[in-house]
Amino acid sequence: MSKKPELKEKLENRLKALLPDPKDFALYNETIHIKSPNWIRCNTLKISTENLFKRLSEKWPIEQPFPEYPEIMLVSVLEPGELGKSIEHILGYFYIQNLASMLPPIALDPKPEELVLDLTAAPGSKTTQLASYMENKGTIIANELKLGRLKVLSANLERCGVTNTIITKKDAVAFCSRLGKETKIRFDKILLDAPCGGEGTLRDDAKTFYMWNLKMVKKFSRIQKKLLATALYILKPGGTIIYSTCTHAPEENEEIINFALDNFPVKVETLSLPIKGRPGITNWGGSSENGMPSENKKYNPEVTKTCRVYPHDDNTQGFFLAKLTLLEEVKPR
Amino acid sequence: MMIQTFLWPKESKAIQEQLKEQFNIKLYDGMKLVRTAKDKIRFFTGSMDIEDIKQISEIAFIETLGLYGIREDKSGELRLSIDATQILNPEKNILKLNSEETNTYLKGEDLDKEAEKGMLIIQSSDSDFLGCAKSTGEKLLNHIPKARRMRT
Repeated sequence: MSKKPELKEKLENRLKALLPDPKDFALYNETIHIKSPNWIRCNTLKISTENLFKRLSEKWPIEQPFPEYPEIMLVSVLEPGELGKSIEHILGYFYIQNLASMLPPIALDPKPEELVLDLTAAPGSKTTQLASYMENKGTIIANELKLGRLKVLSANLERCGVTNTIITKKDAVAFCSRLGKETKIRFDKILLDAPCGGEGTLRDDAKTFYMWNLKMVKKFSRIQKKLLATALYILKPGGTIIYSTCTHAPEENEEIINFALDNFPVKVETLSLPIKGRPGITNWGGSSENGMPSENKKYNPEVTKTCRVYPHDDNTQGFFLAKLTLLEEVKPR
Repeated sequence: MMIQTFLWPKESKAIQEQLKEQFNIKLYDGMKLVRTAKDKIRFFTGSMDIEDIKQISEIAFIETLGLYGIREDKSGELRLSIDATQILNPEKNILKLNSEETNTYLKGEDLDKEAEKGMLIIQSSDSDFLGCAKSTGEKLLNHIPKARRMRT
């Protein structure tokens, strides 16, 4: 039997600072060693939620835990890989997607007539969800830089029958910057599911236990600020952007939103989600020996409107979400 | 590099008429046809106008627009992808398989089955559309892509 992976000391100290109640942390630490349950999302572009539920319930025990979101289903299967091999999956009737990863499109709430940008789109779970909510109308630009990931994105969009999307291949910062400077194209809504340190994926991807390091957190934080800043250039005034990560590090979450509040005419919106979540934090650091910033950082109180998702609260992966509205046009620099 | 060209109205109309004739399919309002190779056509329902798409293509490489839907067979018939048959609700030239045939077909194998010659839409025993197969009269030639086949 393989040894249970353990949190690196600095990561553990940081997480304990975020979850100061010992009972809370113990429950968190227990949960990250248990695989996530099988969340799936019905692809309403191809099948109704009623029909899919009926078909799958003949094979496996299945639940629809959120009456307002019947597309979200929880399936109990016996064998690993059983869901992915099923005919309903092959035909694109559902997408295997963690509940936490369904939250950004729910929060973005795209409408059929809108122009939407999914800036870092692969592997396509969120893009297909957006297309489903938009009923294959309006337009989605789904951007991805890496060729291998682009192929996966493309295959998933085909499988799900997505017809309203243009897939582009470009570095996200350069894409936003050039669109902002060289065109008048501005988006109603943008989804920025930023590349991140992945602390929220520990329960399903054990390599994060070994790969995590503080340098990486700082590096991602710099990239994320650039991504959000350039994405705001191409958002319509009054438009909304969802910033999300699958990590818990405040440097990659509240600090990015605090940066946006300091530098751009944006407002943080209250989120309406099917899970409870916890408010963003306003204080971080003051203990460099514990892997935290040496100075105690204070964030704008508005960041409490953002949402921290911990795995042990709703049996999901860990996540972070923020919804921003652009109050006036931002001139590209 | 993939070339993506919106079909001219005349060519688009001809394809739509052929879809109607072959499978009694009517495209959604506003659905545009995009040629990506000599014999391949995609469906695009995006509302972005062509000038804006051109501007985007000057900034970023456009990998694809919309959904791969049609391959023009050497015989002149149109062959629809699995996903196209699922979203377009065909009503003509449909061949329903029994459960055993469905399982064999989903594995990517040809089927020994008598049927009218030509391009047929295959429907599983559970009434799922599975794209097109070409019938020789005695055999159905399988066109399920490798990535979409059932693994045992």
